[in-house]
Amino acid sequence: MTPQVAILCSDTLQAQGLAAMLSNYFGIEATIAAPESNEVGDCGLYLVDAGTYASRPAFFLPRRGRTVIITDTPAAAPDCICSRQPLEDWLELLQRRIDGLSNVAAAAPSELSQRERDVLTLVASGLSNKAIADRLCISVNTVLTHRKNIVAKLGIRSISGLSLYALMHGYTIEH
Amino acid sequence: MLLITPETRIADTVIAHPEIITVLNRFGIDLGLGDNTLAGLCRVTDVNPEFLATILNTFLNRDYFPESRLRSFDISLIVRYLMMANNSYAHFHLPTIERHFGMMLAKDNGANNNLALMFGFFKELQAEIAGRIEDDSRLLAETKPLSHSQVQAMHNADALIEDKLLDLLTMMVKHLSGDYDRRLCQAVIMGIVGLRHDVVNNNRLRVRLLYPSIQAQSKI
Repeated sequence: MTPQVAILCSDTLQAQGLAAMLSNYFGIEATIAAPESNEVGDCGLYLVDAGTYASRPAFFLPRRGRTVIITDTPAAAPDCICSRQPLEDWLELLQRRIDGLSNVAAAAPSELSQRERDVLTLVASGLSNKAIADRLCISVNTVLTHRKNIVAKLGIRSISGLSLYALMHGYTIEH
Repeated sequence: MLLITPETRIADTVIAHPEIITVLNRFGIDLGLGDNTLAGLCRVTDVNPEFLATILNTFLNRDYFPESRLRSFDISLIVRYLMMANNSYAHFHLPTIERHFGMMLAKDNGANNNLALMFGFFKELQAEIAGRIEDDSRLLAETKPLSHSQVQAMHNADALIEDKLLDLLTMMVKHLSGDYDRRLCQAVIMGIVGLRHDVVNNNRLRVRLLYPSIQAQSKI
């Protein structure tokens, strides 16, 4: 999923340049907002100049982990980057932040829960959703939710693919 | 985005994107391209250069699908191209993956049961693709009218093959365990990636051009 990025800079050229960089190199369409704007929604990343950051501590401090501060002079802090840094430094910093956002989004546990393993075992044995629901004494909607989670966790969509995974991991019905 | 035109010197593009060799081969264009433009090569092989450029562009650019331009070509060109693609799945892509998979299994000598299970999945998928190619041969050769439900079934079969190719890839990349020959495994993965790219691209042609055209015919 594309992360939401907001740019709050008093320098119009700087804001437009950052937006162009995000669009050209990362395919991200960032939102440019006025520095004093209160209408910036909850974003994954905020790019903000030092003046704006300092003027709105109540807004930015709780979002510090998601904020990159642009300074006019070289800064050593990890959350800061100097506007005069070369392009490759900017791209690396942005890539790291974007990767970080993706990793947070994907941080859901990838191991199947016991219930999901039960559902997978029954899917692999060819049972319908209704039959699985009856066997496990749960609703069909719950079965569908488990199946959706299984697909998301394993990255496998087809029934025969799920059956193969179940076989590989020894999830089979014990008669 | 890279766009090829009939005036493009095609060797430069192939060096940057060798995956288009498969498409060029389907149109009878072989390596040893020299400094020829696409139009020059098409003159020799009697291929419509505008059509080939459009097919190459849709093949290279996932987000590029010039539907009205593609509709401007005779549907028989699309049909012939899809038949050529089927031919290369049957005689090049699938046998190549099968050969590498087989070599990987032979080297492993049955020690890694996961590989044998994945090979079984591949064989099942191979049979499904072969079945679809047979269906295509009947459908595309006769271009006989199809009902909405028949088209929907073909559409579903296309999507299932895409899903299974991705499943096999995911299985190998995320869930493979035990010992295996790395180079052969990489060759299998590259083969699946290439085949899937081709299938996904050609499914766009099928779903957005071929099936609507067949349905339109059936309404006449």
